[in-house]
Amino acid sequence: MSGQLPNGFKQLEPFLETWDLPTERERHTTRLTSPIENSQQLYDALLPQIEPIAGYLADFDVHALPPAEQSLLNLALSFMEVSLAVECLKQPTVPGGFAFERFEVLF
Amino acid sequence: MTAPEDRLIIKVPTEIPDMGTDPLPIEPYISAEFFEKEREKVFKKAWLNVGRVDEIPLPGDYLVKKIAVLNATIIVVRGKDDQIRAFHNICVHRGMQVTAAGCEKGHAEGFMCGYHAWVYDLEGKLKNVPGKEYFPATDFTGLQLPPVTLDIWNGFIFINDQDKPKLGLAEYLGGLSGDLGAYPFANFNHIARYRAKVAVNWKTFIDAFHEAYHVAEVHKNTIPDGCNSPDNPNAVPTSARLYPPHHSVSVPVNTAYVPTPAAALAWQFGASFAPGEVGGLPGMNPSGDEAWWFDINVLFPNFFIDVGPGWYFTYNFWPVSVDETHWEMNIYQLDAQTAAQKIAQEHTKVLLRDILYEDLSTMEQTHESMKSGKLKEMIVGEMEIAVRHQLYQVTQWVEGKGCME
Repeated sequence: MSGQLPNGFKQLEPFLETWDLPTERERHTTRLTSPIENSQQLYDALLPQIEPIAGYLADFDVHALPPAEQSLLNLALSFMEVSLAVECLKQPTVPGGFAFERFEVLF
Repeated sequence: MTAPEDRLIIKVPTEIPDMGTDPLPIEPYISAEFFEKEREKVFKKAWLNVGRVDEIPLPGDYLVKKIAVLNATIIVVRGKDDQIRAFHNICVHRGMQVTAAGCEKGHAEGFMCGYHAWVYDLEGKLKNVPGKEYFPATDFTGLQLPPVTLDIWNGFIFINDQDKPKLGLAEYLGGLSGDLGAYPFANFNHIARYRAKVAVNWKTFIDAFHEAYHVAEVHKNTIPDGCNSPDNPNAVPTSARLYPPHHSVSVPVNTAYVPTPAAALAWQFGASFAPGEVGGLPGMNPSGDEAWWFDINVLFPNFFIDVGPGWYFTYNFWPVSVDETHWEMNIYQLDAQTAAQKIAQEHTKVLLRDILYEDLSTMEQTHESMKSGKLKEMIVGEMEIAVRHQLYQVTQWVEGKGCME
């Protein structure tokens, strides 16, 4: 968690506090326990940026990203985490789904 | 009743055993007595998957698997000679386990019992006994952790409770191995693991995962039109193959599926679980079906390997009692070389995971109903051939007619 993003993506820095998370478990927990509006805001801001992010990060070794670039990737992964909730579910959890407290995400 | 159109009849190129067409009895799904027979005649006879070789890449790496249905805790360890072996986690002194309570995985030079410090090497041999001179009557020659029969297929580690199983692993997997064996499992990385403890019989749990008939309803919030299309409104599998006791079902795809914006990005960067352009990998789509999504491969009795274009995932269903099953899912993808591919992989993971919340939502209610005793049998259609075959095989095995007798 670097607290900052590379030049060209500085406008996304307000999302770092909540969404700069290195593991699926943390991203998923944050999605499940945040209001859907928070996920929607992240989704709306990131959707047009995913292609530029992928393009920018293409110049780096994905297995050894510098801190700011890793934070940028984490935001893109958080975008994917919230995408289904925003696009399909319209709520943080799966409607009628198995209780998330009983569903263990290990990685 | 009008018969389905020819093109919508499930194609089964393999021989189909005489499984009948009657409704299936509920009793085997709720009877504690039947469960005890399954323990003895199915789980103590079959080859059971306990992991993958890449989970223990280095000599000294080990896994500890508590397998309730076998009343056993098993250590799977890579030796200094790079061989993978399995042992019962039992000190031959007075029976204490030789790994710490709750340990699932580790790295060691050997194993020391936490009770009286008896030491075993990675090959399971007893190497040191403190105060050995006080056991004058004991012959320590050859003492070791009790070995467990183990074999490996395509990197998947299987154990067998029998010292000399009737069939070796390759022979046991038979025709399924022929189809699936070409899939490049070794090129994939392990990207996710999920678990849940569910109050359901293991067979009812499994039955939620080898037909596509449920997709339109159960998955209506995540991927309602993934399988079902105007051409195939009931998501009839494109084909199925029975390799008794195993089977394989190919899931249809809706070729007119309109991806969400996130799914479209994922497909632009790599392979998503959402329907999309299918690249060819050997070992998948063995019947060469059109409008194909992925293959569900059920390795009897309790292990699934579902393969698709750029991802595969596995399920292990571990019975604990007639009324409880512990489930584990593992997802694997081709190595992400770029950030874009990593972003695409996240979509597969998230979509699959949220789909699983839906799958897991039905079975406790189903099990409760079954236990009420009000339903004596269940109705199973042609699209649910795998459900019928699974119970047919379990029943055969319980009656002593399984292939491992």
